[in-house]
Amino acid sequence: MKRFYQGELENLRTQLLVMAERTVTNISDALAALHGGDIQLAERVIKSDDVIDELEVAIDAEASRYIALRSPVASDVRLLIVIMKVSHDLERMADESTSISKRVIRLMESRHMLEMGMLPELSLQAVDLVREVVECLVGDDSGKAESLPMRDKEIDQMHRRNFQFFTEKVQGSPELASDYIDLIFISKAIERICDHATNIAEEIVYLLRGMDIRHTEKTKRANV
Amino acid sequence: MNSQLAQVHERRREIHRIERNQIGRINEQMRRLDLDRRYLENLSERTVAQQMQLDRIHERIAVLQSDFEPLAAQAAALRRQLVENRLEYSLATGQVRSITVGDLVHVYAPNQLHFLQRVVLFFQHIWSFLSEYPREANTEGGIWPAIFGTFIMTVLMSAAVTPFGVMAAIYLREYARQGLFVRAVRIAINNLAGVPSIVFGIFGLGFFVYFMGGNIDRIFFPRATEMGTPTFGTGGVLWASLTLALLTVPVVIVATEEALAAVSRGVREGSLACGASKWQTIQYLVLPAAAPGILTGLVLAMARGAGEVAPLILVGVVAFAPSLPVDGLFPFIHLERKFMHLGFHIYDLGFQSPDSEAAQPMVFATTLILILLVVALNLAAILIRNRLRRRYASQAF
Amino acid sequence: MPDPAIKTAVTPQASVTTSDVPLRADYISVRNFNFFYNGVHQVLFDLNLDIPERQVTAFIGPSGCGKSTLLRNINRMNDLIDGIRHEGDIFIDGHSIFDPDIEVISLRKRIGMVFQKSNPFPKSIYENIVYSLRVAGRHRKSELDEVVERSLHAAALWDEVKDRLHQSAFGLSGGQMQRLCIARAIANQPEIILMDEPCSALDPIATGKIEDLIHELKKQFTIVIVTHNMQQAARVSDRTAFFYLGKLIEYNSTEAIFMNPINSQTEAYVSGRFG
Ligand SMILES: Nc1ncnc2c1ncn2[C@@H]1O[C@H](COP(=O)(O)OP(=O)(O)OP(=O)(O)O)[C@@H](O)[C@H]1O
Ligand SMILES: [Mg+2]
Repeated sequence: MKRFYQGELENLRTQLLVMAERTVTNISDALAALHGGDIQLAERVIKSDDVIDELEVAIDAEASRYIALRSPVASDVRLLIVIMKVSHDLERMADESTSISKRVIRLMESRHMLEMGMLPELSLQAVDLVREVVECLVGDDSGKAESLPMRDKEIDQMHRRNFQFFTEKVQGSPELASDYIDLIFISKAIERICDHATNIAEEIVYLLRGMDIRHTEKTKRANV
Repeated sequence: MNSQLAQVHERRREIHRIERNQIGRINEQMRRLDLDRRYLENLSERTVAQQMQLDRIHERIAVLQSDFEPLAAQAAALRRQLVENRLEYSLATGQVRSITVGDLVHVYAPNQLHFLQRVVLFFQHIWSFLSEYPREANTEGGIWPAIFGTFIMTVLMSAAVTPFGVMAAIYLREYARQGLFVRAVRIAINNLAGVPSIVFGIFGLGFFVYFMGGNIDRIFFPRATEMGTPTFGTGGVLWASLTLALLTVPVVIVATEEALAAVSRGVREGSLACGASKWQTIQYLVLPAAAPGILTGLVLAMARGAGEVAPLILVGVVAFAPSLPVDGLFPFIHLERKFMHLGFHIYDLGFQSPDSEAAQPMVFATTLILILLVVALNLAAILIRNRLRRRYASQAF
Repeated sequence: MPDPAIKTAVTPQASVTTSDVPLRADYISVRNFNFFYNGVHQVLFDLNLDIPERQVTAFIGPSGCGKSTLLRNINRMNDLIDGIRHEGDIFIDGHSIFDPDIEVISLRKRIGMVFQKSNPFPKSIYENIVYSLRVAGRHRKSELDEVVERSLHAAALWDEVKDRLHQSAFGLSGGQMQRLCIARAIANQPEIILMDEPCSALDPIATGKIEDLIHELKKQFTIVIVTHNMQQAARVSDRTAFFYLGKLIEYNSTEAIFMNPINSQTEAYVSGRFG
């Protein structure tokens, strides 16, 4: 039997998926702007962040209304909690892509030739991870979602190498220091995006299986 | 022997037909004409029209007389034939006796009958006891008029007591403000149930027979009344039924009130919330739901009424009524007639018959029939009530 | 005190209406209403509230706070009780229900009522539903048949009983009986449906069906429901009124009452920390 208000929950989930799609687009656009030097694309990313913020607010309000009025239980309550957490993660990811875009604009304005270190590879990995996480969310794929946190280790290492590489550059050429510092922050932002993606993957597992895989031995070892 | 017996039966039936039906009808007409004749003759002066009427009556009487005479002669001839043949028989002691064949009712040799024949005979006796008129001052024959009289009186009583009692109960329970007055009325009703029944008989005699019957006679049958032959102004099955209805009305009121009170508040409120008026609620819901309880009350009333004798003696029961209250003569139902009643029949057999020893079997048999009748009434009503109950089996909560 | 005759437009939440006439926000309007049992025992104190058209309004509050009393005043069911007295007024669509020109029977014909304890009549399912038509003197068979089918469909009961319409209503389950009572209440096309704890004796599935039904019915009817079940009030109603000791403590949209009540008593009651 389907109750009259269960449509509301489905609408909520659909809204979350819309938000996820938009976030993915923003991330890949921001990274494309970084590598293609596309200021306009970067500006578009910054602008569309507002829509994502609004979506987060709307999803939060609707989810808490649903919790207050519909007294959800079991998978419904997990879905609501996950929706609220995931929307928060997505909003953070979109924020990071906005900060990437802002730095891209600054870098383009300074017109220096810079070495990118491992950034292109890191970007590819990041976009790939985020895409797959969203696919898991859309397709309710807990098996794949469980495997995704493993990739975080690799990404962390890339970021650490970027950090070393760009720090050396800052010391080597003080006139480019501010640009390379921007690149450090961009690398850090990409790493943060992947952290949030990992969180979402863990939340998907919690949603679908009802078990918490955060900070377990497996993932901890992977993070070392 | 057997053929003679059959002939005897045939003749008796013929006599009965002639006397009861044909002569009875002529007698009835004669009685009416006679009343008018006597009334007209007693007038000191007669108008022309009245004189003409009187002449016409004389003519009609003569016609009826001429109709009557051959019939009477026929009956007398048949009677004579009945005593023509005599049967001589000898007892085991050797004495020789004789009896007119016309006096024989049954002839059978018990020792020669085989089992099945005995059974048949047994049931034949029971049947004739139930279906025949009494003979020999009630000590022989059947009790059919008493059964029928009891039955018709009970039916009339129920017809009178049901609407009266139910309406009273509906008023008391549903409409009257539950105050001191209604409480007093209830107490009065309960007391009424405890009043000795003979008091009701006296009341019935005074109120129904003398007052109501007397007035009816004065208005509708002035001539007969003047001649000293009251129609309604004397005891009859109608007055007896009404008297018993009064006697049993407290039972019906109390039972109906209880049945009404048992109809749940929820159902009443539901009905009113549907936009029904109070009377519609009572009519469509309360009364049907209370019907089993009302029927129970009616059964109790019927059982009590059917077994009541004392008041009836005063208001119309007789030891032997020549005709039933329902017969083939217009207007077919004669509520003014006196009637026979099982209870009174028992009293009459047991205490008024010339040979009460001989009447003992009749007394016991009649008593049994009366008890069976009351039990049957009770059973019938219980069955009806259970059927109604089942139809609306109470809510499962 | 606002003039009850002034029509105020309101957009009903999630309700589909076909007519163009704006729905009234004060369809039922209670004004300075006091109510007394036995002449002196006051149970309702100076109530003022407006119930909007074609929405579900829930009355909540602890036992004995007067919810049923107010509900039963709306169709003047309390008239049956001796010694009652009221002050103030109640308006339906701008007309006072205590107006001596208004016949109480015609008032009740416009208001369907569903009771806490389901009270089917000792009649067949069919006769239960057509009762309100029969007492209104409508006996045409084709019309009655149509009403029975429509009402049973509306009450989500048709499929379960269509083969035994002429059997006793007492053969139904508790939930079915309650839905039958709802079907009976809507048979004669009332404008308002009053429900006094309609699910208190039912299992969750029957309760769910009835809640879904209420959600459907508000497209056509103005519904007032008394309930002790907070979740139920939250699920089915658009507006909620909280009563305590005969006073209206807080009356607002259901969302506001359950998410952000202004009064601390309301907060304590809806969160189960009362008393
Ligand atoms: N017929 C009556 N006569 C006298 N007092 C009554 C009557 N009906 C109700 N009351 C009183 O009025 C007050 C309000 O009763 P009401 O039935 O409206 O409460 P309620 O809020 O519906 O409670 P519940 O949730 O238990 O149904 C109670 O104190 C009750 O005792
Ligand atoms: Mg109540």
